Amino acid sequence: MTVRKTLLRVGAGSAHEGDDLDAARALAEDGNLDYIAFDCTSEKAVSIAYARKQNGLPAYDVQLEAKLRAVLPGCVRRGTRILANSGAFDPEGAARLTVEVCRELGFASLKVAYVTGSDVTDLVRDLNPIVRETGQPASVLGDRLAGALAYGGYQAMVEALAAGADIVITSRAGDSEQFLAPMIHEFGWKLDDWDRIASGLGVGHLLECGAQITGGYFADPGLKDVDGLHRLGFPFAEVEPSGAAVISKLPGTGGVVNELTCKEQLLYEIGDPAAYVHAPGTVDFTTTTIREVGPNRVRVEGTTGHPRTDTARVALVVKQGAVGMGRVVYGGTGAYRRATLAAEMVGRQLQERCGVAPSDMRFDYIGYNALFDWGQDPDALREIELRVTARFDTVAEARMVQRFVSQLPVNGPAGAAWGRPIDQGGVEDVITFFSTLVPHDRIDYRVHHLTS
Amino acid sequence: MVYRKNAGQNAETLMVTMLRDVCHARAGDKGATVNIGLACYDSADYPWIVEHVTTERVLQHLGRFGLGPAERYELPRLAALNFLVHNALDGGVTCALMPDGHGKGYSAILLEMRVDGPPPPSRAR
Repeated sequence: MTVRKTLLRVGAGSAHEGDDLDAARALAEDGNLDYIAFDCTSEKAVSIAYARKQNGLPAYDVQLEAKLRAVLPGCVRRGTRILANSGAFDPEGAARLTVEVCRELGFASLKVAYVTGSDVTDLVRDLNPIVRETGQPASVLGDRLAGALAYGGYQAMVEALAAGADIVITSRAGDSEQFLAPMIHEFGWKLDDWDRIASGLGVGHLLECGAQITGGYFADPGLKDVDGLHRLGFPFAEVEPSGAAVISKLPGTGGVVNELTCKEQLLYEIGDPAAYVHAPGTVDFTTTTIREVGPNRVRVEGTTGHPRTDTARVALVVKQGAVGMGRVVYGGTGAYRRATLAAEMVGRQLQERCGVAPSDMRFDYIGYNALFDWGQDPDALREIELRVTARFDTVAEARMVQRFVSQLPVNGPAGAAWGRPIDQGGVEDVITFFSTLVPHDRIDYRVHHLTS
Repeated sequence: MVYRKNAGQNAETLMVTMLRDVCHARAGDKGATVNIGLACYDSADYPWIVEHVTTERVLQHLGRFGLGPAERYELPRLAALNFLVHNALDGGVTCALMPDGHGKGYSAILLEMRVDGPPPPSRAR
């Protein structure tokens, strides 16, 4: 008879591909974790991975190696198993790199599994589903549609864990799914036990943004003070077989876990809290309770669930031309008027010489109203940064924004402050994200095994 | 803090409450839609934010920074509301020209909202 765990310790190793390695290392060394999961594949990160693929570079999280080096010694010593959605467009490449790093560090016979099937580019071309953002079939995107990655693979992750994998690499498993898979595996949850599935996903949702539940994206001096922001601890959860959990962080690390941080993170990017849809099931947070049970210990329970939807969310990678940017600062009395004069000048140059439509350019006055109309009197402000952005078809054309802005100190209004070249702006290839849905049963996730 | 305008007149009906003094917030993006979570410091204030922080008022507050439409979801057990404001983020983070394409700053923006009238229970004591 299988002996089931009565408490599972799962930790968050990263909220995005470039997150703090020292905090992850601390969790691996001192967290006494059963599992650590790395969220490496935000939509932004997938678009970067695609750009790397286009340039012949590895199309997985290039910081995977650094993450492994940080946590492997601690994980191997404790027997902590690792999950990472760092594969993007090349999960096999990410897994082979993982094996190499394990061998180099002297960790032989670790089992590394990777999951293929997320890359549904061909399937999307075949099924031609409606794109959420445009309301039109995917085929309308034409050559601009560069690739498609499905969010999912929890069953494959569970299969890999059951086969004894120490490290599981996926393309783009849902952030919360990576935390759910160990719970299903260890507690033997049924895949249609919707309340437990939702509870596990809910705990995953709280952990997947790492320090955002331990004091990151939170401090507001005088109102919400946080100690030790420079050494924030990453979170872990002690999960019970019921799906209830206590969220905490390591003693001695910076930051705070309290009701406020947990509530803010629960609400983060969830849409309808009664129907937060994930591939394994739908989470209902309207039944959830949050209660402090000790210093930096918050108990989360009561989350309920609904059956999974018939379709999986797919991220479509879409090429959207290029953006150019230029920046310049004006100071003193009349700063805003000089900044608006400069904007008018650059706007006319972009329109008359480069044919940029007014709807494809934007002028922001940082310090005045770039984020919001705060109701300030612009004539009372003594420093304004003008930020000019415009859309083009190519990076080469987009350089004209910085070109015109860099001419302002000599040719434009008086007193343009002008710093280092990197202050002046730059250009960016724009790879954007649309989303669509495809039936779960058309996605063929498969587990592959390697050994270090 | 409760701001009293025109002291000496009917102070009860002329008070203004800044949302920042009653709630905390966190915001993020979903494409061109901004998701703003708003939670009460004191759960006794929850009925007050339900009454006053409506989608209409939020859209009015956001102006050109949140064209809408908007949806509001209620979480009474957490004394919290969640807002989805569509057509806020200039096409979404990967193609937006606006400086805050991720929409993170909308937490501070919503907390800047002022509500006229009787204050919430935590401020009336």
